Amino acid sequence: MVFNSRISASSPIGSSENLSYALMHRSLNKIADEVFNDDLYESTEERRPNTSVILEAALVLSQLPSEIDRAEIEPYSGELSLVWRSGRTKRVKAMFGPGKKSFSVYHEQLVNGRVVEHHLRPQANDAYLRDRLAWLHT
Amino acid sequence: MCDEDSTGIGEIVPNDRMIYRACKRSIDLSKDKTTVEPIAFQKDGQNHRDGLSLALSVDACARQFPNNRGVIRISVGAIHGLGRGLEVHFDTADPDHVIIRNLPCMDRELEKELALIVSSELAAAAEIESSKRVLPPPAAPPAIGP
Repeated sequence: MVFNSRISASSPIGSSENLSYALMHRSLNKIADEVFNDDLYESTEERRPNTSVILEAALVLSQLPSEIDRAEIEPYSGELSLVWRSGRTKRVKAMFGPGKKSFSVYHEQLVNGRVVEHHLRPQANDAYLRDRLAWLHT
Repeated sequence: MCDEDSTGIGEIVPNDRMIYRACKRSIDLSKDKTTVEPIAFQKDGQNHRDGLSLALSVDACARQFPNNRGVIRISVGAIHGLGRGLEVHFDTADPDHVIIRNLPCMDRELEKELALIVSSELAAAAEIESSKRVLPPPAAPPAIGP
Protein backbone atom coordinates (compact mmCIF):
# COMPACT_ATOMS: atom_id res chain seq x y z
CA MET A 1 0.00 0.00 0.00
CA VAL A 2 1.06 3.60 0.52
CA PHE A 3 4.02 2.96 2.80
CA ASN A 4 5.44 -0.24 1.38
CA SER A 5 8.19 1.43 -0.62
CA ARG A 6 9.50 3.66 2.18
CA ILE A 7 10.80 0.95 4.47
CA SER A 8 11.14 -2.79 4.29
CA ALA A 9 11.36 -5.45 6.97
CA SER A 10 15.13 -5.53 6.51
CA SER A 11 15.66 -1.77 6.63
CA PRO A 12 17.68 -0.66 9.64
CA ILE A 13 15.60 1.64 11.83
CA GLY A 14 18.11 4.38 12.34
CA SER A 15 16.06 7.53 12.62
CA SER A 16 12.82 8.71 14.16
CA GLU A 17 11.42 9.19 10.65
CA ASN A 18 12.14 5.57 9.79
CA LEU A 19 10.69 4.47 13.11
CA SER A 20 7.43 6.33 12.52
CA TYR A 21 7.16 4.84 9.02
CA ALA A 22 7.80 1.38 10.44
CA LEU A 23 5.07 1.84 13.07
CA MET A 24 2.65 3.20 10.48
CA HIS A 25 3.43 0.30 8.18
CA ARG A 26 2.87 -2.18 11.01
CA SER A 27 -0.40 -0.53 12.07
CA LEU A 28 -1.69 -0.34 8.52
CA ASN A 29 -0.90 -3.99 7.87
CA LYS A 30 -2.62 -5.06 11.08
CA ILE A 31 -5.77 -3.13 10.19
CA ALA A 32 -5.73 -4.17 6.53
CA ASP A 33 -5.43 -7.84 7.49
CA GLU A 34 -8.75 -7.54 9.34
CA VAL A 35 -10.85 -5.12 7.30
CA PHE A 36 -10.42 -7.14 4.10
CA ASN A 37 -11.60 -10.30 5.85
CA ASP A 38 -15.23 -10.94 4.82
CA ASP A 39 -15.84 -13.02 7.98
CA LEU A 40 -15.95 -9.80 9.98
CA TYR A 41 -19.02 -8.51 8.14
CA GLU A 42 -22.70 -9.38 8.34
CA SER A 43 -22.98 -9.65 4.57
CA THR A 44 -21.40 -8.57 1.31
CA GLU A 45 -23.78 -5.59 1.34
CA GLU A 46 -22.44 -4.21 4.62
CA ARG A 47 -20.49 -1.01 4.07
CA ARG A 48 -16.72 -1.41 4.46
CA PRO A 49 -14.46 1.25 6.06
CA ASN A 50 -13.10 3.52 3.35
CA THR A 51 -9.43 4.33 2.74
CA SER A 52 -9.42 7.56 4.74
CA VAL A 53 -10.98 5.80 7.76
CA ILE A 54 -8.35 3.04 7.56
CA LEU A 55 -5.49 5.53 7.23
CA GLU A 56 -6.71 7.67 10.12
CA ALA A 57 -7.07 4.65 12.40
CA ALA A 58 -3.61 3.41 11.37
CA LEU A 59 -2.07 6.82 12.06
CA VAL A 60 -3.57 6.93 15.57
CA LEU A 61 -2.56 3.33 16.26
CA SER A 62 1.00 4.02 15.09
CA GLN A 63 1.30 6.69 17.80
CA LEU A 64 0.75 3.99 20.43
CA PRO A 65 3.59 1.51 19.79
CA SER A 66 3.03 -0.52 22.95
CA GLU A 67 -0.69 -0.90 22.18
CA ILE A 68 -0.50 -2.06 18.55
CA ASP A 69 -0.42 -5.77 19.30
CA ARG A 70 -3.15 -5.51 21.96
CA ALA A 71 -5.63 -3.70 19.70
CA GLU A 72 -8.53 -5.62 18.22
CA ILE A 73 -9.97 -4.44 14.91
CA GLU A 74 -13.76 -4.18 14.68
CA PRO A 75 -15.44 -2.90 11.50
CA TYR A 76 -19.12 -2.00 11.69
CA SER A 77 -21.27 -0.38 8.97
CA GLY A 78 -18.44 1.66 7.45
CA GLU A 79 -17.00 2.55 10.85
CA LEU A 80 -13.72 1.11 12.12
CA SER A 81 -13.01 0.60 15.81
CA LEU A 82 -9.81 -0.16 17.66
CA VAL A 83 -10.71 -2.03 20.84
CA TRP A 84 -8.61 -2.70 23.91
CA ARG A 85 -9.80 -4.59 26.96
CA SER A 86 -8.73 -5.64 30.39
CA GLY A 87 -10.28 -9.03 31.00
CA ARG A 88 -14.09 -8.90 30.80
CA THR A 89 -14.46 -5.81 32.95
CA LYS A 90 -12.86 -2.82 31.22
CA ARG A 91 -13.00 -1.81 27.58
CA VAL A 92 -11.73 1.16 25.56
CA LYS A 93 -12.98 1.62 22.01
CA ALA A 94 -11.70 4.24 19.55
CA MET A 95 -14.19 4.71 16.69
CA PHE A 96 -13.33 6.13 13.28
CA GLY A 97 -16.25 6.96 11.01
CA PRO A 98 -16.60 7.96 7.37
CA GLY A 99 -16.95 11.69 6.79
CA LYS A 100 -15.76 12.60 10.26
CA LYS A 101 -12.80 14.84 10.94
CA SER A 102 -12.07 13.30 14.33
CA PHE A 103 -12.52 10.01 16.11
CA SER A 104 -14.51 9.22 19.23
CA VAL A 105 -13.43 7.23 22.27
CA TYR A 106 -15.73 5.19 24.50
CA HIS A 107 -14.70 3.53 27.73
CA GLU A 108 -16.63 1.36 30.14
CA GLN A 109 -16.28 -0.76 33.23
CA LEU A 110 -18.60 -3.66 34.00
CA VAL A 111 -19.30 -5.13 37.43
CA ASN A 112 -21.49 -8.23 37.63
CA GLY A 113 -22.63 -7.76 34.05
CA ARG A 114 -23.70 -4.14 34.51
CA VAL A 115 -21.92 -1.08 33.12
CA VAL A 116 -21.06 0.99 36.18
CA GLU A 117 -18.71 3.52 34.57
CA HIS A 118 -18.82 4.83 31.01
CA HIS A 119 -18.20 7.84 28.82
CA LEU A 120 -18.24 8.59 25.10
CA ARG A 121 -15.95 11.45 24.04
CA PRO A 122 -17.13 12.45 20.54
CA GLN A 123 -14.12 14.54 19.46
CA ALA A 124 -11.20 12.80 21.03
CA ASN A 125 -7.47 13.05 20.35
CA ASP A 126 -4.32 11.00 20.85
CA ALA A 127 -3.77 12.35 24.36
CA TYR A 128 -7.29 11.46 25.50
CA LEU A 129 -6.98 7.94 24.05
CA ARG A 130 -3.61 7.51 25.78
CA ASP A 131 -5.21 8.62 29.06
CA ARG A 132 -8.06 6.10 28.68
CA LEU A 133 -5.59 3.31 27.89
CA ALA A 134 -3.66 4.19 31.06
CA TRP A 135 -7.00 3.89 32.96
CA LEU A 136 -7.59 0.51 31.28
CA HIS A 137 -4.30 -0.85 32.55
CA THR A 138 -4.70 0.34 36.18
CA MET B 1 -35.41 4.77 20.38
CA CYS B 2 -35.20 4.10 16.67
CA ASP B 3 -37.83 1.37 16.20
CA GLU B 4 -39.81 3.11 13.49
CA ASP B 5 -41.85 0.16 12.26
CA SER B 6 -44.40 -1.50 14.56
CA THR B 7 -45.95 -3.77 11.94
CA GLY B 8 -46.47 -7.31 13.22
CA ILE B 9 -45.35 -6.59 16.79
CA GLY B 10 -47.17 -9.01 19.09
CA GLU B 11 -47.40 -9.70 22.80
CA ILE B 12 -44.44 -9.56 25.18
CA VAL B 13 -42.53 -12.85 25.42
CA PRO B 14 -42.63 -14.37 28.95
CA ASN B 15 -39.48 -14.07 31.06
CA ASP B 16 -38.97 -17.83 31.32
CA ARG B 17 -38.30 -18.25 27.58
CA MET B 18 -34.80 -18.65 26.12
CA ILE B 19 -34.22 -16.94 22.78
CA TYR B 20 -31.46 -17.36 20.18
CA ARG B 21 -29.51 -15.18 17.78
CA ALA B 22 -27.38 -16.30 14.86
CA CYS B 23 -23.78 -15.03 14.78
CA LYS B 24 -23.46 -13.29 11.45
CA ARG B 25 -19.85 -12.14 11.98
CA SER B 26 -16.86 -14.06 13.28
CA ILE B 27 -16.32 -11.24 15.79
CA ASP B 28 -19.75 -11.78 17.42
CA LEU B 29 -17.79 -14.19 19.62
CA SER B 30 -14.45 -13.57 21.34
CA LYS B 31 -11.33 -14.87 19.60
CA ASP B 32 -11.12 -17.82 22.00
CA LYS B 33 -14.85 -18.51 21.41
CA THR B 34 -15.70 -18.43 25.10
CA THR B 35 -17.74 -15.23 25.38
CA VAL B 36 -20.23 -13.15 23.41
CA GLU B 37 -19.07 -9.76 22.11
CA PRO B 38 -21.20 -6.58 22.34
CA ILE B 39 -21.23 -6.21 18.53
CA ALA B 40 -23.64 -9.19 18.43
CA PHE B 41 -26.28 -6.88 19.97
CA GLN B 42 -25.57 -3.70 18.00
CA LYS B 43 -28.07 -2.42 15.48
CA ASP B 44 -28.55 0.46 13.09
CA GLY B 45 -31.89 2.17 12.62
CA GLN B 46 -31.60 2.10 8.85
CA ASN B 47 -31.53 -1.69 8.52
CA HIS B 48 -33.34 -2.80 11.71
CA ARG B 49 -36.48 -0.72 11.46
CA ASP B 50 -38.59 -2.81 13.85
CA GLY B 51 -35.93 -3.86 16.39
CA LEU B 52 -33.30 -6.58 16.76
CA SER B 53 -34.35 -10.03 15.52
CA LEU B 54 -33.91 -13.25 17.47
CA ALA B 55 -35.57 -16.65 17.28
CA LEU B 56 -37.35 -19.01 19.63
CA SER B 57 -35.20 -21.99 18.65
CA VAL B 58 -31.72 -22.83 17.38
CA ASP B 59 -33.23 -24.48 14.29
CA ALA B 60 -35.16 -21.33 13.45
CA CYS B 61 -31.88 -19.32 13.66
CA ALA B 62 -30.13 -21.77 11.35
CA ARG B 63 -33.03 -21.78 8.89
CA GLN B 64 -33.03 -17.97 8.78
CA PHE B 65 -29.22 -17.67 8.57
CA PRO B 66 -27.82 -20.89 7.08
CA ASN B 67 -24.35 -19.31 6.79
CA ASN B 68 -24.23 -18.44 10.50
CA ARG B 69 -20.94 -18.59 12.40
CA GLY B 70 -22.55 -19.96 15.53
CA VAL B 71 -25.58 -19.28 17.70
CA ILE B 72 -25.91 -17.45 21.03
CA ARG B 73 -28.71 -17.61 23.59
CA ILE B 74 -30.10 -15.24 26.18
CA SER B 75 -33.05 -15.47 28.52
CA VAL B 76 -35.92 -13.06 28.07
CA GLY B 77 -35.90 -12.46 31.83
CA ALA B 78 -32.28 -11.27 31.64
CA ILE B 79 -33.18 -8.77 28.90
CA HIS B 80 -36.20 -7.38 30.75
CA GLY B 81 -34.24 -7.45 34.01
CA LEU B 82 -31.57 -5.05 32.77
CA GLY B 83 -33.93 -2.18 33.52
CA ARG B 84 -33.01 -0.43 30.26
CA GLY B 85 -36.58 -0.37 28.89
CA LEU B 86 -36.01 -3.26 26.48
CA GLU B 87 -39.01 -5.44 25.60
CA VAL B 88 -39.01 -8.77 23.80
CA HIS B 89 -42.08 -9.21 21.57
CA PHE B 90 -43.50 -12.03 19.48
CA ASP B 91 -43.82 -11.43 15.73
CA THR B 92 -47.45 -11.92 14.72
CA ALA B 93 -46.36 -12.92 11.20
CA ASP B 94 -43.76 -15.55 12.20
CA PRO B 95 -44.20 -17.85 15.23
CA ASP B 96 -40.44 -18.57 15.40
CA HIS B 97 -39.38 -14.91 15.35
CA VAL B 98 -39.06 -12.47 18.27
CA ILE B 99 -37.93 -8.85 18.33
CA ILE B 100 -36.07 -6.84 20.98
CA ARG B 101 -37.72 -3.42 21.00
CA ASN B 102 -36.38 -0.12 22.36
CA LEU B 103 -32.76 -1.06 21.70
CA PRO B 104 -30.82 2.16 21.02
CA CYS B 105 -29.16 2.54 17.61
CA MET B 106 -25.47 2.85 16.77
CA ASP B 107 -26.13 5.19 13.84
CA ARG B 108 -27.94 7.82 15.93
CA GLU B 109 -25.47 10.16 17.61
CA LEU B 110 -27.78 10.79 20.58
CA GLU B 111 -28.32 7.07 21.17
CA LYS B 112 -24.82 5.79 20.48
CA GLU B 113 -23.42 5.83 24.02
CA LEU B 114 -26.50 4.04 25.36
CA ALA B 115 -26.29 1.58 22.44
CA LEU B 116 -22.71 0.75 23.48
CA ILE B 117 -23.71 0.33 27.14
CA VAL B 118 -26.77 -1.83 26.46
CA SER B 119 -24.96 -4.03 23.93
CA SER B 120 -22.24 -4.69 26.52
CA GLU B 121 -24.79 -5.68 29.16
CA LEU B 122 -26.68 -7.93 26.73
CA ALA B 123 -23.40 -9.59 25.69
CA ALA B 124 -22.52 -10.19 29.34
CA ALA B 125 -25.92 -11.82 29.91
CA ALA B 126 -25.75 -13.97 26.75
CA GLU B 127 -24.17 -17.40 26.43
CA ILE B 128 -22.81 -19.39 23.53
CA GLU B 129 -25.15 -22.10 22.26
CA SER B 130 -22.73 -23.13 19.51
CA SER B 131 -19.41 -21.57 18.53
CA LYS B 132 -19.53 -23.39 15.20
CA ARG B 133 -21.87 -23.08 12.27
CA VAL B 134 -25.26 -24.66 12.97
CA LEU B 135 -26.68 -26.31 9.88
CA PRO B 136 -30.35 -25.80 9.16
CA PRO B 137 -32.52 -28.85 9.83
CA PRO B 138 -33.27 -30.95 6.76
CA ALA B 139 -36.45 -30.00 4.99
CA ALA B 140 -39.40 -32.34 5.52
CA PRO B 141 -39.82 -34.82 2.66
CA PRO B 142 -42.60 -33.94 0.25
CA ALA B 143 -45.93 -35.52 1.07
CA ILE B 144 -46.66 -38.58 -1.02
CA GLY B 145 -50.06 -38.47 -2.64
CA PRO B 146 -52.58 -41.34 -2.61
